[in-house]
Amino acid sequence: MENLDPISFEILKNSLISIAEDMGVVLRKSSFSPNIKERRDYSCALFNKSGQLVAQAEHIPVHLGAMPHSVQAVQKEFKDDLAEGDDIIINDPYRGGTHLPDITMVSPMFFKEKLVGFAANRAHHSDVGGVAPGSMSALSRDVNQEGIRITPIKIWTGGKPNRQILDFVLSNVRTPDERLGDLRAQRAANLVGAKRLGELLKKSRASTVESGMDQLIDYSEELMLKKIRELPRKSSSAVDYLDDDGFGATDIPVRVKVTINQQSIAFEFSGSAKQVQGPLNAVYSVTLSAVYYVVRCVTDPSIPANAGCFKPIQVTAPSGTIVNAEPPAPVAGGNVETSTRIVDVTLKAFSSIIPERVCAACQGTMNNVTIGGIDPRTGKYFTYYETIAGGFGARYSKDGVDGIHSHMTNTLNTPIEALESAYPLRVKKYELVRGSGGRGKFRGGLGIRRDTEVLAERSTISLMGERQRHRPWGLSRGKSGSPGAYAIVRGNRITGLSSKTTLSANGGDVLTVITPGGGGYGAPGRRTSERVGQDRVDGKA
Amino acid sequence: MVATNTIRIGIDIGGTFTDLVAADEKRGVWKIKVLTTPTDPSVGALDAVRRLLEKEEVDSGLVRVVIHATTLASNALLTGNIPRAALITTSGFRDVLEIGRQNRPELYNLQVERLPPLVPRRYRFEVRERITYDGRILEPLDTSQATQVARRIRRLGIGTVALCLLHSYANPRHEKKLGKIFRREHPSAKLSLSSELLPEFREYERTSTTVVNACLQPLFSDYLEKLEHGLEKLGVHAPLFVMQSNSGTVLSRQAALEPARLIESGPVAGAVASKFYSRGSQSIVSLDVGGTTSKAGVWSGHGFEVTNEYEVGGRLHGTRRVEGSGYPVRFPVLDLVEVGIGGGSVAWVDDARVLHVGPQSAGALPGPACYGKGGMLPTLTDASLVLGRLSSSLLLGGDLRLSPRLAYRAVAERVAKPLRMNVINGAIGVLRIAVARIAEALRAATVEKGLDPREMVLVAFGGAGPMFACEVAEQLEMERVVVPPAAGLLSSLGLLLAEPLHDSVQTVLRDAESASVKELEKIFRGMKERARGLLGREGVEEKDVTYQRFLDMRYQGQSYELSVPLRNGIITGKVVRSAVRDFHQRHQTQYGYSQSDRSVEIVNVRSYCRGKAGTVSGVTGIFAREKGPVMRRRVWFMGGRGIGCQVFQRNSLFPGSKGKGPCVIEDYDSTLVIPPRARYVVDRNGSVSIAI
Repeated sequence: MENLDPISFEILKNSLISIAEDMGVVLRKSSFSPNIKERRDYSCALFNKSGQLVAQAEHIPVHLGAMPHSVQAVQKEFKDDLAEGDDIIINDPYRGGTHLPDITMVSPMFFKEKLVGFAANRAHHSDVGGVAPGSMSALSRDVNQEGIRITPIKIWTGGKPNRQILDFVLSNVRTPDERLGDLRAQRAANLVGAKRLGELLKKSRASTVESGMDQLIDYSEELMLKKIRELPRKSSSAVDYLDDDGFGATDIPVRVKVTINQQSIAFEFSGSAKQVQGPLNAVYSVTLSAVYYVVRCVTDPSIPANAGCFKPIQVTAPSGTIVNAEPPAPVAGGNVETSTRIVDVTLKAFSSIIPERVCAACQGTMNNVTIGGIDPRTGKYFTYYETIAGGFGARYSKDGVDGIHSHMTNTLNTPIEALESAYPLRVKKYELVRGSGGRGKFRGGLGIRRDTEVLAERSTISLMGERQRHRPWGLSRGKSGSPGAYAIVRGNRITGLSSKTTLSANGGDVLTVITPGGGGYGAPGRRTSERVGQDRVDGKA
Repeated sequence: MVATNTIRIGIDIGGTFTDLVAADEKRGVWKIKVLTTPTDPSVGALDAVRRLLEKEEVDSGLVRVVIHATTLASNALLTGNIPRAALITTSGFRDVLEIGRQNRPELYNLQVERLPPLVPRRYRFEVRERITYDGRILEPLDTSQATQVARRIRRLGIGTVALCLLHSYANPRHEKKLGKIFRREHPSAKLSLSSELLPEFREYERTSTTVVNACLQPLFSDYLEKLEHGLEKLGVHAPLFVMQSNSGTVLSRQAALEPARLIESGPVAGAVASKFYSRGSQSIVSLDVGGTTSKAGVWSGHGFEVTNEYEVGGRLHGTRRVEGSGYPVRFPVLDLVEVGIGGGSVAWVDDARVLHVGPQSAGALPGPACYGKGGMLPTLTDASLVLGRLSSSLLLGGDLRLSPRLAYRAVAERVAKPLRMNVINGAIGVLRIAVARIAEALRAATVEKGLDPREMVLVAFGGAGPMFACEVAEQLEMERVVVPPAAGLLSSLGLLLAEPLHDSVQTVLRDAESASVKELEKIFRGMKERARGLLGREGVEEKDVTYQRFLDMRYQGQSYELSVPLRNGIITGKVVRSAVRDFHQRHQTQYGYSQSDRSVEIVNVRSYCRGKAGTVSGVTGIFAREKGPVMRRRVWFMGGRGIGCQVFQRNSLFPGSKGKGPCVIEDYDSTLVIPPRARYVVDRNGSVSIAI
């Protein structure tokens, strides 16, 4: 294998990364699920022929460590039985997926009839069947209740849709029309990836591009090792808790021990809770994603994300635990909630080693809201899914940001004017919650209150959230942020709701979601009077 | 030179220099460059005009029009140097402006911040009212509360107010009523109504656009008034126009009401000129390489590509704008794909011994190492000097002497040594990476939109554009490059060539099959009336008005729209059906698939109304035609070869002059490098046209 000179390499590196980004543009602009098009809950990546991640676009972090598992599952399933024009889909969390709504499409790429790599993208679909619309029910007790499980299967073969399989998948979901549109968009994205890689291969020699891919992986590893060596060689442990699993288990511990070595960082999760009945379980690849996210944040995020970047990272999580679940444990919330707690606990461990690089706890939940039912205007099924931002944790030298998504997600909100025309819903209030940021020399960001009126009879609301008992913690004597809370208003009656629940709602019922504020940093008494004054006139504290 | 005919003046105020270009119809051209006066940019602009009138003895009475571009808007927004403004929203939604789309601009940065909201929470007020998505009034406007809010704002001494209520695009009645209340209670306040500025759905983007406008209104009305007044005092009684981001001009009085339309006026003007100098080409890519960035725009057939996803002050990630990193302004902006590569881009070697160029820039101070102003870091300019592509004496007409020694040292120390190569190879590395990245921007502007660059002409300008254009073109297999005269001044030249243009939008959100053609026709007619009114005041005659209509469409359930042009004439079912067919076609081109079985939704109705303004017939006489010395020097090209080349002076070339590469053509503010095998000819506009 020849090595590229540093200049040709830089040029090739930029091309490969931009291919992954181009794929994202196509997916976003031509998809149908609000989750994909408005909220950007997707990721796109390129892999080499041995299934190693070469380039991943800056999409959402929760897919970071999980995509390679999908590609490996495809390789394992199909071995040499892959041809140009094949597109394989997967969503089974126990066969290379994360949670069921995330459907990954993997497409082998060929050049002159030889396999050169894979284009892959993962997108969160609005519904994949299961007990509740949106497939994010908090009350599932096993993965089969959460929706259709798709083990690696060719949905397009040689460029032609596999009609029977497509029909089979589509008849197991609530909004088949939208699913079909999204699958087409996912395929279009991979086609763009393959086309652009093809152009690159045509321009340079194939062997140059292939060895360039490997070199990119080595390059990231080398940079990551440099960054690791700059960190103090220390070890630190931390524990944080999930509130509950919706089935009676409460104060569920997630434990980590972080050890920074000369050439690696080890993350050891033993002592974390056994897997739970409710859907808070994370599969191993989700835990990897969370750890990788933290590592990128505290080292150097400009190191290209690929297999090499993560080679020096060792993650051990005992199987059968909440951070490495085994079938048939339900997992819908592992991806969104537990992943976030894994980030929190890992940052907490790092806080005693590199306090200036971390932040106090952010809201620590995604506040998953799903509302589904029959739209009285059309007589058709609708499924609306939204995650609601909260406070960002305060930092060593600045306040946390108000009303913003943190850590494992960065999905956009659905514009109110768009959602009111698309769904039988009406938003009554969308505002920052005064005083919700944890006090401190630097205060935590504020949480959000969002009130949504349901306009369809017999709708189903599913809620899944966290940080309603265990508040987002502060650092260095900073105070905790305020907890989240959910409630429903029926007529004049307000009923508090638990953080994981599914309920039915009728026209006129109003769902209130209050999201947690971020933790503070430093003693509150040391806050400057200028900052105190600003917050007062702005009604923020 | 004494002009005997009417004169047009273009003034482009940039960060460092204010450029004035004037032309009469006999092809006399004047150029004046003065320093920008940041505290009051009108001072520098008027100074340039005074010089034109006094030193060049131009008769002020002959000036027929003054056209202006300025970076005032983006500077003010990014430095926070803006007046206090207030925002009025529907009750429960005053934080929409701050929460935005709830995302963060950087994923892996725990120190992440948002740009501060342009209106702090203390000045955001709510009024009780509610309208539904289909324009029904659910809750009437609480007028007594609105009155109190207006009084409160008056008492606070806030002089500019943004009004943005939910769903006002579907029914503007409450916003209009609110406007009336403000005019009664706080008559001196400047008002920006979202339903008048941008009746388009998506509340955050509309609110942001309205707020940006409100913040700029007081600045621009003062500034433009001062400029007009100053021109009057100099005896210039011509109308003042301002360049808009949409690539057309607008009369200053209207510009002062909608200043959020003016933000990208400078860069856009350059693209307009590039179209002119490529006359005859049906599709062109404009490439503007400046000190810190390169910008690529595309003209294909009917007009420039425009974007509706613009953010002021947004950051770049490769060739993409980072969403949520700036303040969204949803007026159409000529789509310039940008990449952080320019003459001042710094070359650096990372920990793994890989060479990078940019996005850091040495700026004007300390500038590239070769400027000798204390800069130690090697830049693209330094590499070009090392490679003989740039002359040490010619930049800015010889005002600035470049030091090859300092350039050589910087490249040697910071590039060649860590890479263990010789200095020439290090400098060629910098060049190759820069060319590849600029090519990446061009690719994003063309291939990603389904356009084939091989069929397009590259028009290169800006201080550094001509130096790299031929090699960028080679990367994309483009066959023709055009370098206009005075490539470094093209933005101000573009001002002389721009025409009035007014765009309008209205969200309708209707199924294409059931949409009422009568309703569409009525909306279009309303837009036309309004634009005609504006054009009339701008002195455009009825016969000189052209009108383009578009429907923004998407498949039912999608979130992004494609603009489809409509045929002329009354809107009928047939016209809409043919637009739907075009939509499927466009979707196929852009995204690689279409779905003819799916229903199509009309999201927005959009129109552009353009006035022919009798622009100058050409700006060619820029150069005194004199024989220049022909020199020789060694120049290195991408392939790594150093070749002895002839070096010509641009002003020694005449229309019809021709030759072949390798050679260098030096202008007073830019340098054109022509690689081996390429052939060039000077056309009658004075542009150098190169066949790669």
